[in-house]
Amino acid sequence: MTERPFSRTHDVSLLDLVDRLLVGGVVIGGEITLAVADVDLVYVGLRALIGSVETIERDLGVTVTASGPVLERDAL
Amino acid sequence: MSDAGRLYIYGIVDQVSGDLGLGLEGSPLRVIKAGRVAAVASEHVQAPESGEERFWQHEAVVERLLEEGAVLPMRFGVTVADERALKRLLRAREEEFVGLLEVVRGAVELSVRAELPAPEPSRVGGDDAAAQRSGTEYMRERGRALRSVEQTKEQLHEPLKDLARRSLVLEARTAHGFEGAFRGAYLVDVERVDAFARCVESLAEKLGGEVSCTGPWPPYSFVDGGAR
Repeated sequence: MTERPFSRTHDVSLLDLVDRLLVGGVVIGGEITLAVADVDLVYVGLRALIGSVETIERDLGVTVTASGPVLERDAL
Repeated sequence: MSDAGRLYIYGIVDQVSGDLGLGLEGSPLRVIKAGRVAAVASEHVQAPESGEERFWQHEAVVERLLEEGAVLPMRFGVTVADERALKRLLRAREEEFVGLLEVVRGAVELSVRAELPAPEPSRVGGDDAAAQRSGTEYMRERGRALRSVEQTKEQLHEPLKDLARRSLVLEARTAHGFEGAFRGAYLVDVERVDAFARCVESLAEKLGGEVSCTGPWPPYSFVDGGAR
């Protein structure tokens, strides 16, 4: 399972992982470590891990401005 | 259960064997049973922080469970107060979890992302002519272009959907409204993973654009039971 024979790049795998771990999966009880605001930050943090600004903007729905990344609400 | 810490949960299973090893922060994994299901968890005084390394650690535990049988992966970061609370929560949704375990048993999740060619409105007659076109004509052309890219998405999704047990077209997040963006999740029988991969390859060739597939993943996108 750990090998991902047809994943293209680490970047895409990481993005797919985060999409699943933070948005999918079962939730029980009321407590979750990552509040919605924290999830936003994770996506913004991915910017540092995943290559170009264009990729981020396209894949994550983040608009990167001179003053820093601005996350659009529909990004999640 | 000591009163030392909260339980961080990785997944829900209905059978588990042998040594589970360690979870986040090297904390040993435990199985907490309730009725016909069980949660795999580790105990933490402070809720584990997030971060890429921890995401992969959570994933590694769920993948180990997947190798043993059906698993409902938890979202990252779910903790409950103690064993008693966890058992109560499991019992409350036992039927739902038993049902979902059957939905995902013997299958894995595959992810497909694509950037399909999105046609530009035609520029017949050059820029001047385009500038003189009426708004109605422009909108008509836009409509045609959008229908065309929607058809391309269907040409990608339909054959993959047919190979999958279940499928979802997810929101392809694009900042600038790139209409060719596509994202799908597919629950695929383990025996059909290779066929699925071949199908993705041939569709990528046929449709052009960028198509990427990752997996196999635990079935994160197919266990929400309406909670998403």
